[in-house]
Amino acid sequence: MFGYDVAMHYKTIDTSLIDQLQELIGGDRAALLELIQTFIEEGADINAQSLEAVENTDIDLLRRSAHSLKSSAQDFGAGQLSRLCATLEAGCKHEWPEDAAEQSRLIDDEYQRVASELQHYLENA
Amino acid sequence: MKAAVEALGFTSDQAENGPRALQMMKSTRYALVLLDILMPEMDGFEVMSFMQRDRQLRDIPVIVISALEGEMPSVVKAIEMGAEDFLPKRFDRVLLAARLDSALESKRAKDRELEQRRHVEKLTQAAAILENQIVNPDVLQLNETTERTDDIGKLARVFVQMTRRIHGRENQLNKQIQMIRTGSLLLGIGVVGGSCFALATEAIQQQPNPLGIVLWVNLFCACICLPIAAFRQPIRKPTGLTLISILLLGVFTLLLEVPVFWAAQTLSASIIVMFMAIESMLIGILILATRAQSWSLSRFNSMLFGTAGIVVAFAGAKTAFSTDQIIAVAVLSIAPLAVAVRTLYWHKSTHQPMDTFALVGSTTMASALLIAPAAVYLGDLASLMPSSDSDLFILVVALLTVVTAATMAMRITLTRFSGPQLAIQAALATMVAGLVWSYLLHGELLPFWGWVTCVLLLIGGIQSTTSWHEQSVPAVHTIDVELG
Repeated sequence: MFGYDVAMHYKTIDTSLIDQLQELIGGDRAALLELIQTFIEEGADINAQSLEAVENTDIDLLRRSAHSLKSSAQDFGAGQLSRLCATLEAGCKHEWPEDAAEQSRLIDDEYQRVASELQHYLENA
Repeated sequence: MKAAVEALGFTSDQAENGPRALQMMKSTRYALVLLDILMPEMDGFEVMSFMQRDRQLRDIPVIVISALEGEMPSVVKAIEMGAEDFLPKRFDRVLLAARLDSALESKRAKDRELEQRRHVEKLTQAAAILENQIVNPDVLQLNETTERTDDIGKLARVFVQMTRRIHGRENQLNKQIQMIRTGSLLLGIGVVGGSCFALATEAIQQQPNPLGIVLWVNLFCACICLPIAAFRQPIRKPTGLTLISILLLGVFTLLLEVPVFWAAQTLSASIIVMFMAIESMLIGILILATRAQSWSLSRFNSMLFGTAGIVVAFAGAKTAFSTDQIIAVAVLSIAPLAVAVRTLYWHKSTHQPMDTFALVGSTTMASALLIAPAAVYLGDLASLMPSSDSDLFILVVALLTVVTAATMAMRITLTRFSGPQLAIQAALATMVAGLVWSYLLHGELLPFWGWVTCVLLLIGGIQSTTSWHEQSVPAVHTIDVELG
């Protein structure tokens, strides 16, 4: 499509969505890779914020963190991560979700898998 | 989002939260804002609320970014708060480009409308100014509006052009009125003032009491002018500075009148007229000395001719006159200097502005009070007792009173309206009229050297007028405004 071969089979990320993102930013491959790197770095921060929010029972921080990660995850083809974040965000609308800790753990696990695959994607780009 | 926007050819900045976004909007002029609702510290609604309350920010279009699922109420709320449009989080390039172009076009249209409204307001204000009879194109402040190429610009150009025409005509009319007024004053000063020398010699011939004549003339002048001044407006209590000014003016007036009347005992009226015309050159020198004007070739020429005139006058007097007459000439020389200084003092004095008749009346009263002790002490009081011998004297004194009051009032008016420069022309007009009066009343004619003096002083005065016109009349530029 854009002059490269996709050698790896990715389990958690949908590379077609990454291709769409590249098209959205005008086909700039270098810019795309930079965005992926930024997502990996900032995603780690947001994930950490989410875990901190669970520790401190901060519902606003938890909700914002889930919202931020949800949108970005979708852009980078991490559909499952995005769905998990959407569920947690919806649960935080009115009161502290009972399973907030469990959901945050699931999100953290999924994020680690996504970040790993995106790192591979970068290395093979 | 930033990368997608910049891929479409726009430049963009990113703010990590609401307060930062507002700060950036205040310092940089953004064409558009893409706004997320859920943000740390301040959400999108609060940002929009701030923007609506701020005159600088309220017109920046906002596109709200949202995920459609579950956020529709937020989107609706944002649009009710003034958002231009919304953009789903999952957008493609075409949709992004379309939404951005649409919002920017809408902004441009709004800006054009605002700009048009601003210029319509300017035209309305200009119309209100014209309605208040203020016809001055500079006051209308339509320069920017006239540059527009639409109908509003055309209307503005019509406004400005018509205002300029009317303003020009008004200025022309005012100048003509000013010229007529100045001309009338000069004529008046010449004809009326020029007669005082012939009347002075007549008065001295009747009763050779110069101090007494000066006393009566000034006293009667004050008695006429002060009631007139009181009738015109209430006379205010003078300040200390005003009293000093009036005293000084009284002294200058005496320094004019006493030498003239004293010299009239030995000199003819025409000779006195000729020497008094030196005032024209002295005023020119004083104007230069006080830096009211700068040097020029015309000014230099006027000094040259004036000096030549004075040299001829004194040389002629030395040759043709007796010792008594030469002494009279020497004493008389004080008078033109006193008049010149008095004229400049009228122009420069900063005491409370007085009514002209009040100024004439108080000056002549001051002169009368100052000369009275000397006149009494020296036994120089002229008799005003009616008798067959004194009827003509009383008439002459009465005429001198009227002439003195009228001349002083006209000279003050001329100086107030036109500055000291025209006193030069007044002196020359007095010279010409004075020579005519001397001939009419006494049959006197000047000797040849006297005519030469007068001609040289006249040429000097004309040169001075030329230099004044060169330095005081600004160049007038007209701009033709094309319609259509």
